[in-house]
Amino acid sequence: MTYQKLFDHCQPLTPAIGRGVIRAKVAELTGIKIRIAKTTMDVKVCRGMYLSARNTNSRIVQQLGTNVVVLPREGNNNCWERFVEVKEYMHAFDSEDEATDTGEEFDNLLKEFTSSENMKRSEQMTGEIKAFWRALAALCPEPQRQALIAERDARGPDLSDYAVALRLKIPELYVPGLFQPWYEENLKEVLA
Amino acid sequence: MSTQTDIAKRRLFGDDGLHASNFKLFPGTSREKTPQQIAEQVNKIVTQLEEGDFEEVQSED
Repeated sequence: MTYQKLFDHCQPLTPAIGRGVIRAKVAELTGIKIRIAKTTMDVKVCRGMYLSARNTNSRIVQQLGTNVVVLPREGNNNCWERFVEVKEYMHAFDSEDEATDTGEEFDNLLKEFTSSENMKRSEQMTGEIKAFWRALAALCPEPQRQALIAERDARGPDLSDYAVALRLKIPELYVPGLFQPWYEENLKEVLA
Repeated sequence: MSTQTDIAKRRLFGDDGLHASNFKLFPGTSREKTPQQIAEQVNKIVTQLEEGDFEEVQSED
């Protein structure tokens, strides 16, 4: 339910919606204050990570608090960085079951991300998928999406995915998803 | 000998580790990633964060 409040907050906003606006609202709604650190993360392996840690004796918690998004210094352009960062913020809305808090769940998550076989979807992977759609819906409010659908119907291929990506400042790769018939089904699931 | 995944699990969830209550990731650009490669990144990043080898940013845009 809490995500619904972020979704509602974003609806009247005009893209490109700033990460700072979303981060502040997530903190207000969940009490989770997220800090962001850039490191030499290899973008070929990971574009970003979300880490919640409780050990107050650890230097990470002492320096950065309990909730950190880690990004690579290089390799994500602005659109990618915005999207990855906002997707990681969305884990503030993970349920207890969706959180990865054991070694076994960590193992399974890594296998699901790298296996080409069809595996039974874990709760943790469900949390990843929900975070993706939540980020997309936060960065593209429904009135804007409906306007884009109408413009696309009117202009056809003259309105390219690239042009939409530039307006929303999201990766071009994810623009087609906004226009798929299953978008609204996914939206219903993440708002439930 | 411990694998990168074993080390990452200890560092994240072990008694002397971070006591992580959640860990998530956004997969990278390579299609040929392995769990060991991701775990290796996790271990590298945890070390960098512990040693203060990071820049904190406050992205607004």
